Amino acid sequence: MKREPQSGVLEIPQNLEPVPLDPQTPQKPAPSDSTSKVGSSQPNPESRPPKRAPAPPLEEDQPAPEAVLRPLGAADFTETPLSLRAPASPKATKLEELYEDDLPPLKKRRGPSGGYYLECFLREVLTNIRHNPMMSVASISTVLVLALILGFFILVIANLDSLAKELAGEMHIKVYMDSSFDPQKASAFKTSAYAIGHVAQVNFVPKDQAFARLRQRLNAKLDLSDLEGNPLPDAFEIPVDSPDFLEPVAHKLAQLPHVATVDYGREEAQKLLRLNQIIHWVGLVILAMLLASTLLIISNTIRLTVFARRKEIDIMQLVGAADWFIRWPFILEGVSQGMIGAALAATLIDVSYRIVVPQIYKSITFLPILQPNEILPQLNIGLIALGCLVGALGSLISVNRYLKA
Amino acid sequence: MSANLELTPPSPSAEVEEPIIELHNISLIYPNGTRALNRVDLAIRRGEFVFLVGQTGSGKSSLMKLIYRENDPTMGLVYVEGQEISDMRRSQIPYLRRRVGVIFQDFRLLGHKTVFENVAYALQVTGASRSVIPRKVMKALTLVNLREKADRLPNQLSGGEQQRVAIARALINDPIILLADEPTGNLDPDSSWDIMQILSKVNARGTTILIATHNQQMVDVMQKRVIVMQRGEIVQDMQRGMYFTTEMRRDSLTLGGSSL
Repeated sequence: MKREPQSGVLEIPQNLEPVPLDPQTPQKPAPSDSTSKVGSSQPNPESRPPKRAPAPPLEEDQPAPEAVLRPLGAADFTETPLSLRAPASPKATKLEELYEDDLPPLKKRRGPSGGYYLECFLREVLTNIRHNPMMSVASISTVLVLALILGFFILVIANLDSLAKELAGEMHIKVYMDSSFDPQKASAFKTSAYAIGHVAQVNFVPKDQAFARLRQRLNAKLDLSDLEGNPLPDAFEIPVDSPDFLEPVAHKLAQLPHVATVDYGREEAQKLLRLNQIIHWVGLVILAMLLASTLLIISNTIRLTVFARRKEIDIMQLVGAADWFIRWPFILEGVSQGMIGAALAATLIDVSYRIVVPQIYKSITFLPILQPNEILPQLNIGLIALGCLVGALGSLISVNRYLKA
Repeated sequence: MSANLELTPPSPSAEVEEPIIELHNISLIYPNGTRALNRVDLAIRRGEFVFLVGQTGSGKSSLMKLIYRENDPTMGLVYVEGQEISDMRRSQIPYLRRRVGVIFQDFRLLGHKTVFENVAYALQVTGASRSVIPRKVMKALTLVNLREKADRLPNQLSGGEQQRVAIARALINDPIILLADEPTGNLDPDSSWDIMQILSKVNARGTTILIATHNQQMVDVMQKRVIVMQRGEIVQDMQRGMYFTTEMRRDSLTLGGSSL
């Protein structure tokens, strides 16, 4: 790549001499005046002395000792446009003009507003997504899949939870009367039962009715016709305010006259209560684990996208971008990807739940499934908020890693 | 070995003006144990145009990195405009880098941004107002003769053009110092001279320029101050220097050349 040296070279520096002495061209005040506000409080290194005057390269004044040093026989650079006669050449004058009319750096400007930066950042995000759509697709689909799993799991837990509550709420006390009980006195029994307190209702079930119910339940599977008479006793069904009162109320009912046995499904009740709690806790634990893994996976995905751009981050730092200026576009990108992924997931869950629930109702009528409107709005909002949060955290963590490096 | 004291030619402004870049007894040892710089002293005055030459691994880039605070010296002090920068807080570094433009052999442009956006980014970073940005960017691009290519992407440009974009970006915040690490290392001779010409123009505006280079011809023609580095030390510092290979230096010394 070397060129043949030739004479004429050495004139260049001499011609250069007048170049830097442009003290009469007023030095342009640092345009960073305006920008200094960005740095605000810190002792601003940008407030440099106004004397950015070009110190004439002093060595030019020296007698050139280079005559000795022309071993290359003076380069042939006549064709090379080394027009170093800066002030004399029209090009250089143009240059001076160029910067001179920058002189009035507008009026005193307020520091740039948040809107200014928001616009910068959003543009940045859009360029990034446009430039590397596959990365965005990867992040969004990761969030989508994880949010789907999470949402589905939440629905299952919530339904189990409500089922357990529902069942527990259906628990009631059954009081079987002895054979000496006179059905005429049922209302008297009711009054004394109500007197115990915490009793929601007292329903009299005469033995005929109980027998009919039994027959219906067994349907045709068992023939009851050869049974002589009705073996069932008269009974009362007594729901209480809360499963917690089953036991004390049952004890008091047992003291009433003509009561043969009191059945309040003691074990079943306790099992149900315990089941309810187990579902609660297991649900919470699994939920926490799912959340943690979601966060991990997503921040890993984002870390990959950030890793692919660590050179960019480097360059940004080199041109003097503050950390926050680099960080925000990444965070916004993470938030938007998290939001889009989660919103897609929420939509899918929402639609399919609304389709599936009526189907279940059709086939299993008594199953107390949560109605779509009871749970979906909260679930959707929660998922989307979570998506944003995870996206933001993921990018923050990964960008910080490269910023510190 | 550092000869910076004798270098300063007597001149009226010399006493008044403090060096714009000053390295005091700098040693730099990388975590892996490599000794990149060894007790380097250096002073560069405002408006100087300085070549930094030496073999690969002689510490040129390491020295430059100190000035824009990419490296922290293991020992010693670095002053830029009289301000000690090696104990500068992290949050201050961006402000330093707006005063110290840097260009590299590999240009380091943002690949998905157009020429215009690349240059504008360095302005946005400072919070420059929307109305100012296009005007300033176009001026900087005019300076490097790339006005018509403002909407191209870097990969649509030649190497020389990309380097000119990098220069425009480095100059957009009117730095007091422009560092160039092998700026012509990837370029053909014509483009290299274009770059040198632009750098000379920039220097004529008063910006101090420090160029690390292997381009012997360039150094010889420009007749500027040349600092020779070897194994992390400054071995020669000449006011109007030439590029010496090791053997050549021996010759020139015996000839009583200008090496100080």
